[in-house]
Amino acid sequence: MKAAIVGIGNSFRGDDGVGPALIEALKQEADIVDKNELLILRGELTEILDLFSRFDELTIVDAGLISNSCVGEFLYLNPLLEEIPKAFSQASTHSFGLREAIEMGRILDLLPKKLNLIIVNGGTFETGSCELSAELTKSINLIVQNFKKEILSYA
Amino acid sequence: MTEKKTEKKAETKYKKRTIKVDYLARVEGEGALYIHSENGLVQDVKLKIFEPPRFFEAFLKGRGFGEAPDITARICGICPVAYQMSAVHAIEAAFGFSASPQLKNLRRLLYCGEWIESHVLHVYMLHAPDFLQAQDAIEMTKKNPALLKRGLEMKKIGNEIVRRVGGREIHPINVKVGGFYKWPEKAKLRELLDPLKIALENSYKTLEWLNTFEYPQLERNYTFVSLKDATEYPMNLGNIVSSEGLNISPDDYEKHFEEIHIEHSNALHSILKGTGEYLVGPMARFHNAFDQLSPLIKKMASEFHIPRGISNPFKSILIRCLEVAYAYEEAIRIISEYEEIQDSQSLKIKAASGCAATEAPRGMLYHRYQIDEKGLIQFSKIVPPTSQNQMTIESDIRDLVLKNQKLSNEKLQWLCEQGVRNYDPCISCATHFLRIERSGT
Repeated sequence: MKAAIVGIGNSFRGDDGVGPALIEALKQEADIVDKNELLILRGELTEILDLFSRFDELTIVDAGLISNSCVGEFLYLNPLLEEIPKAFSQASTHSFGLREAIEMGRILDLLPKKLNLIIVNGGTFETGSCELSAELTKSINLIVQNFKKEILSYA
Repeated sequence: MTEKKTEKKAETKYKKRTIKVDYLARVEGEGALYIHSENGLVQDVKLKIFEPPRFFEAFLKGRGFGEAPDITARICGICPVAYQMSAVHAIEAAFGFSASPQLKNLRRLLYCGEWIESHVLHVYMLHAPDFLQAQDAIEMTKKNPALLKRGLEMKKIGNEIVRRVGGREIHPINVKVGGFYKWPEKAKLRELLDPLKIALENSYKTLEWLNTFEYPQLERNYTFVSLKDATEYPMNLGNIVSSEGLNISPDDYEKHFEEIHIEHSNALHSILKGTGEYLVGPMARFHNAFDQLSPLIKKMASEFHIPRGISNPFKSILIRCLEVAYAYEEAIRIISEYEEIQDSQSLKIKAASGCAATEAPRGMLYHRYQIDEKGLIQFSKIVPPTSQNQMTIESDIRDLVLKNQKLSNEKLQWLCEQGVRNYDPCISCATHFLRIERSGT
């Protein structure tokens, strides 16, 4: 059974870098590294579709804007049970992203046996900013610990 | 209510109407459309580009010439090759460098990859849903997964070419002034031959599918502007030509073309001096360089009734598909002839300026650089295709509104949005400002 945890995002767009930052943090955790391949991706359609054919179990971590939530809060979606809302499409429609990849994977019957999607609520997504926002930086350690617990519970 | 009664009602109702699309869907970047008409006369059409300017020309100032390919590649995630290669050509022109035939071919292969990636994405994911009244590609393909599978496979081969030649699929990193950092292995490229042959067959099937669409009526009298080379369909070589007889070296681009600032847009509008608006992109290339297409592509064009000089912008999707087929065919030719060599050369740095034009998937792209004796960029100018097409897009929309007064607001809005998407506009690429120099107090 091949498993991977994938952080999607751009480390030069503020809180959009939370996926890659968490993957970097998880690389220090031997129990997680043993059981999972850790990957950082930009989130392009075909690269995500490729993941579906390479792994049986996938946990994908991405930044988002979640209404009525504080920065750093995160939510779990199970795309195998529910469609990803259209609102989750990324603004740039030239580069189809995570939602489109999952929905296209569903149409083509490509989705892996286990697929978890974790969306972390971001605050700022400023172009050229290499740092996570202050709120997110404060809560990052807590988020990593929660990720570890949750991810280990999947494995 | 019958269709006729609905039309009559719409005609009476819409003596005066304004259509506002606050955010255009399925285009790259942030843009809006504003249309105002009264008594059947279009008073105002604005393609508003409010995506903020990105100041790439300013970023380049003071940077070493060798950084230009990597910086300019970041202008666009879908056509980075065209940006970096235009920079490379312009800087090589400044230094008097001439590429070997092998280098030209490998660069052309990289272009093929980008055209495939970009055009297939547009044809299948962005443009085709319009003709099938679907909101997006997902809705369009739910009933026909095979269609989606074919589109993705066709696109994937483009990604693979860019990855194997350019080092990665998006924002390639293997391109440098004077050549490539690492030439790809012959065996790795040859692995792509069989998938390319299948993809070429799939482009024919795609044309069969596109030929079943019902295309809105709109015939325009365009001034087509593109590159044209004596020996090959234009990608990164050639003179700048127009359907009105212009034939100039890229060195003379700024003598004939001008960028102007329009209040409602963060993207500069380009005009051809003495003519005004003009069109760049697949339709322009197809008109100006039809003779350079291969016999196979000409045969496909004939079979699917796509004549040279086609001027219905909605049918640009057909020409994109022909260009995809051409790119597969060219990629097969180049890979079949490819021999691994390492002929990248270093350049002799000197204070100089140079310019170049290449063909991005969505049209001609112009770059100019001024470099000092240390090899640092002192000035750069980048004119992307979307800013060149903006005035033409607005004129298309004006004609569409004039000719479709009987449509309801909802249908007219859909048609006008589709009219913008005909161009596969890259608004993010297009946003930059004029440089303003002040003197005195």
